[in-house]
Amino acid sequence: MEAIMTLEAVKKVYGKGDTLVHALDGVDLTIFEGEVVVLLGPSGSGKSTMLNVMSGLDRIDSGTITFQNEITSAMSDAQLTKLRRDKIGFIFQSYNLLPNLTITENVEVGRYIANDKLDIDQILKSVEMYDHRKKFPFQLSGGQQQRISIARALAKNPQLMFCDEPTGALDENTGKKVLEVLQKVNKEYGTTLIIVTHNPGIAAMANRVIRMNSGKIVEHYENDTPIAASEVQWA
Amino acid sequence: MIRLFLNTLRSLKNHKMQTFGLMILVIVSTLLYAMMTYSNDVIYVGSDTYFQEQNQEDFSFVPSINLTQTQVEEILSDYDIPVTELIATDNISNLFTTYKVDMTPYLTQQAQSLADEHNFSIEPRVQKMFTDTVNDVDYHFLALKTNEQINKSYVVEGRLPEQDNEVTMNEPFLNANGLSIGDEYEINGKTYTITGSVYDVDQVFPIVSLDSPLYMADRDAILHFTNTEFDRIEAQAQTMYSAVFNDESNIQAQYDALVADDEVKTFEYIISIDENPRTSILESRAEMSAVMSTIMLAFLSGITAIMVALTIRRQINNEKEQIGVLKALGYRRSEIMASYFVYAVVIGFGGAIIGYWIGYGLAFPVSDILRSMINMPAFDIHPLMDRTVIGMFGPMVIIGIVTWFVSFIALRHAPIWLLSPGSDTHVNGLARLIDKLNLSFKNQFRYSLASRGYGRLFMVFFGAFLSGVLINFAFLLMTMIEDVTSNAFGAASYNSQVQYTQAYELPNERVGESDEPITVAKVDFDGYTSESSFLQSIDASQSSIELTGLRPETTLNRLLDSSGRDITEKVSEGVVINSFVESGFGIEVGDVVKAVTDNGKTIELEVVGVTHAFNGNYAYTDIETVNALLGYNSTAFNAVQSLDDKTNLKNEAGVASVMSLTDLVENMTQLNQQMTMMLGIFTGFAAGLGLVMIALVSNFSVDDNRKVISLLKVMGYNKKEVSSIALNIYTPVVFLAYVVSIPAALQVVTVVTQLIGQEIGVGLPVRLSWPFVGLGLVIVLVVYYISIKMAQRALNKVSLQEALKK
Ligand SMILES: Nc1ncnc2c1ncn2[C@@H]1O[C@H](COP(=O)(O)OP(=O)(O)O)[C@@H](O)[C@H]1O
Ligand SMILES: [Mg+2]
Repeated sequence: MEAIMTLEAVKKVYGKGDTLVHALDGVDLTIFEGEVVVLLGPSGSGKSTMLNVMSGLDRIDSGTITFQNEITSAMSDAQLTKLRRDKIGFIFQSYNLLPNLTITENVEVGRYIANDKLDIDQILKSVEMYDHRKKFPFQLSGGQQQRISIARALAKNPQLMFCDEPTGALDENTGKKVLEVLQKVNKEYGTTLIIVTHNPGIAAMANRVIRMNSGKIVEHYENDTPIAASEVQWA
Repeated sequence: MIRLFLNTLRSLKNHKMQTFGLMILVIVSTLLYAMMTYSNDVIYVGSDTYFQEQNQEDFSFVPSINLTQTQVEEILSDYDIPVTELIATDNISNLFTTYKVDMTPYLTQQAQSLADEHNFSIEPRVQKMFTDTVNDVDYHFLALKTNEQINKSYVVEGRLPEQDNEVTMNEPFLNANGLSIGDEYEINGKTYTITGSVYDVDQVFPIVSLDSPLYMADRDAILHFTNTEFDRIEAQAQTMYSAVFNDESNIQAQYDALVADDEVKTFEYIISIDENPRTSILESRAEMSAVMSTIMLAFLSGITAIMVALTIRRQINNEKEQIGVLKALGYRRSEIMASYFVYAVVIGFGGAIIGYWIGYGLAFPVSDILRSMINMPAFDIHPLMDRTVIGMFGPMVIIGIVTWFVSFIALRHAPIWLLSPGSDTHVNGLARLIDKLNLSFKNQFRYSLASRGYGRLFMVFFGAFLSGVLINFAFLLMTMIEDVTSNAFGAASYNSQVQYTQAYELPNERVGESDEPITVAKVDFDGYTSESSFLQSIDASQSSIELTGLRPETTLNRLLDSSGRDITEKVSEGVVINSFVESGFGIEVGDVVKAVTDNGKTIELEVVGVTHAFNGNYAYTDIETVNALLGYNSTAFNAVQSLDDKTNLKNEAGVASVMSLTDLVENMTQLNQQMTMMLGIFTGFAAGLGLVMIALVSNFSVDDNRKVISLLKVMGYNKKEVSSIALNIYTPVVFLAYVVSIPAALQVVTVVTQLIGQEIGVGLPVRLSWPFVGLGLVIVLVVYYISIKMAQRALNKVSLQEALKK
C-alpha cells in the first residue's frame, strides 16, 4: 500500500503565555491509500485541530505534512484551495446543507467545481437517497441529510474524505446507516476516510485507529479485521 | 443591564462597516439639513427687514408722455427741430430721440401729478448702462444715481463716493474679481478709487446689460459715483420713477386700483416689485429652497430609518438565541429592548451632532456660492432652537422608534421558540419559484441565496433605483440646458443686429457685403397674451412680439424646425413663430393671427411653421410683408443683421440699438457651465448615496451568508467563485432598477420643467440622451462594483473554521 499522507513532528499551539495550549504536540503519522482511519480521544484532545491541519484548513507551527509527495504545510492559500477543490471531501457534524437548494442541487454544489465529476444520479443511488432527490433539506431526517452531505463530498470523487463527528448528532439507527454509506463509499470508490469521533465502537470498522490526548498520539494500532458498519457496538 | 448595553456596543464595534455606513447616512442627512436651511437664512432670512430699512420701492413706472401743444412748441424751439419733420414722422418719440431731447422735466412733472393724485411718493431712479472692454473681455456696468428716500443704497463696508474719482461697487463683483476697498479700478480709461461695497434693494437679481441679461458676478458691476461724475459718464441716462405708497396698509389693493385706472394709458411702463424680475424671483427661490431642504431631510431620514431597521432586525435575529437565554434567565422584555437603544444613541445622536454642526459651519461658504448670483448682503445667522432640536435629536428619535418597533416584534416570542435553531426549517416561496426556472446550476444557486433576504433584495433595488433616478434627473436637466442653450438662437449665424430709428431704402451704404437687410416691427398678436412675466420685463417692454421681416434667401437667419428642416422659405406664405412664442402664447400652426403695431396698423397672417429657437418672443415673415404693414416701400429696411461685430455703432445718431448675438450666446454658455457643474455635484451625491446603500447591503449579504461562504471555501471554491456566488447576485437587480429609474426620472423632470415652464411661460424640451443614459448605467455599475469590492474584504475575512462549528 502507498502512503497518501504523512505527518512528521507536527506542532500547533494556540494563544500565548499563560493561555498557551499545545493543540498538537509533536505528531507523527502515516495514512495509506484506501484506508479507513478512526481518530478517537476526549474533548479538547486535539482531534479537530489534527483534522484541520491535515486538510489544509489551518496551518501548523512546525513539522511537515505531505500529501501525495507534496509538502502541503508549505503551500500558499491558493494552492491549498486548489488541493481541497480537487482531492479532498468534507463531512460535518451539522451537515451544513443549503436550505434553499434541493437535494440534487446541494450535491451539485460539491460537483460544480470538480475536475473529476461523478454522475449525480449514481452518487445519490450510492447513498441510497435517489428517491428523495427533488426534496428540500428540511423535508429530510438528520441521518438522511448527512447522507446527502456525503454525496456532496463524494461528487468530485475525492482521494481523501474528512469526517468530523459525522454521527455526533444522530441516534444509533440513523448513525449506523451513515456509517454503512461511508463504508460503501470507501469500498466502491476507494476513498480514504478519516473519521473523527468520540464513539469508541466505531473504531472496530477502521483499518487504523489513533487515540489522542493533550495533543499527542497516545495509542496507534492497525486492525486487520474491520467489521461491517452494521455490526458496530453503538456507544 | 450594563452588560447588555456593552453587548450591543461591542456588536456595533464588530460591525464597523455597517455602523460606519449608517452613521454616514445620518451625518449626510443632518449636514444637508443644517447646511441648506442655514445657508437659506444667510440669503433670505433678513431680507424683509433689509427691504424695509432701505425703503424698497413698491413699484416703478414711467408715465406716458402727453405733451400739451405749448410743451411741444417749447421743445421744437429749444432743440431747433423743423416743423416739417414733426409732420413727416409717424413716431414722435423716435424723432425726439434723434434730436436727443431731454424729456425728464416733462416726465417728472407728470409723475408728480400722478403721485399726488394716488397718494404715493416718488423719487426718480436714474441709471446708465454701458460696456467697457478690457483685454477683449466685456465688462457691463450699471451706474445708479444714489437715491435719498426710496431704494436707498446699503453700504456693507466703506462709504459712498465723495470725490469725483471715487466709485463704489456691489460686493459680488468685488469678490468675484478679488477687489477690495482702497483698490484702484479703471473704467472707460479713468482711474477710480473704490470706497465702498454697496447693495441696492431694487437690484436683487441685477440686469446689467440687455445683451447678456443673466447676471455674471465676474463681469457685471453696479456702480455709484458722485452726482457730478454720474452726469459725466458717457451713456444714455434712463429715468424711471420709484414709488412707495404713503399708506402702508394693503399695498396690493392700492396698486391694483392704480393699474386698473390705466384705461387712458397713464403709464408707458409700470411694474410692481413683486412682478419685477430684478426682485420677484427671490420669494419663489426662498420657498423653493425651503421645500427642497425639507424634502431632502425627509427623504434621507426615511432611507436612514429603513437601513437602520434592516440592520437592527438582522442584529436581533442573529442574537435570537442569546435573547432566548436572557428571557429564560428572567430578563424583562423592556430591559432587553433598552439595550438596543444604543443604536439610536451612537448612530443617531453621534451622527447628528457631527452632521448638524458641520452643516452649520458650511452654511456660510455654501451661501456664498449661491449669493454670487443674488445681489443682496449676507444676513447674520444664529443656531435656532427648534432647528437644533430637530437636527440633533430627530435622527435619534426616528432610529429609536424603528428600533423599538423591530425589537418589540422580535421579542414577543417565547424563550423556547427563540432558543430553537429554526431558520432552516422552511424554504421561501421565491426559492421554490427559482427552482422551477430552468437556470444553470450556478445561477440557481446564486439566486436562491439572494432570495433568502427579501429586505436586502429590496434595498439593493431601491439603492440602485434611487441613484438611477437622481443621476438621470441631473442628466436630463443637463441635456435640456444644453438643448436650450445651443438652440437658443436656432440657426441664426449673424454676429450682431443693428436697429435704426427709421427706415431706409435699398441700395444703401448701411448694407454691406456681409450684411442682410431686415425690417422689424414690434407687434401684439391680437387675442394672445404671454404668460411670461419674466420675459416681459427683461426687456422693459410688454409682452409684444418682435415681428422680423426676412428675405427668404437670407443666409444669416435661417429658420429650422425641431427636426432640423429648413423652413425659411415659408416666410413668404405666412408667419413662422419660434418655440417660445408657440408655448408662451399657446399659438399653433394653422392659427391665423392678427398682428397689431403700436400705432394701430394691422395685418392677418397664418402661422405656417415653428422654428426651434428659444431666444425670446420672435416671429418671422417676409420682409415685404412687414414693410407693407409699416407702410414702407417694398425695398425698405429698418435693421441690419451682420456677420461683423457692430456694437461700436451703439451711440451713433439714428441707431436705436445694437444687439450682439455673440455676447448673448456667451452669456448663456456661462450659465450653462455653472448649472452643469452644480448638476455634476448632484450626480456625485446621488452616486455616493447609492454607494452607501449598496455597500451596506452587500456587507449584510456577507454577514448573513457566513456559514455558506465558509462552507464553500472549505470545499475548495476559490475567492472569485465565492464572491460571484455570494456577492454578484444582485447584478440583474441593479440592471432592472436602473432601467426602471429612467422613465421615473423622465416623469419627475417632465413635472418639474412644466412647473418651471409655467413660471417663465415657456415649454422646455425634455428628451433622453442615450449617451447620458449609458453613462448613468456605467456610474451605477461602478458604484455596485465598488460596493462589492468593499464587501469582498469582509468576505475574505470569513474563516474556514466557521463551517466546522457545531
Ligand atoms: N481557535 C482556537 N483558539 C484557541 N484555542 C483553541 C482553538 N481551537 C482549539 N483550541 C484548543 O486546542 C485544544 C484542542 O482542541 P480541538 O482540536 O478542538 O479538540 P477536540 O476536537 O479533540 O475536542 C483545546 O484545548 C482547545 O481549547
Ligand atoms: Mg472537536
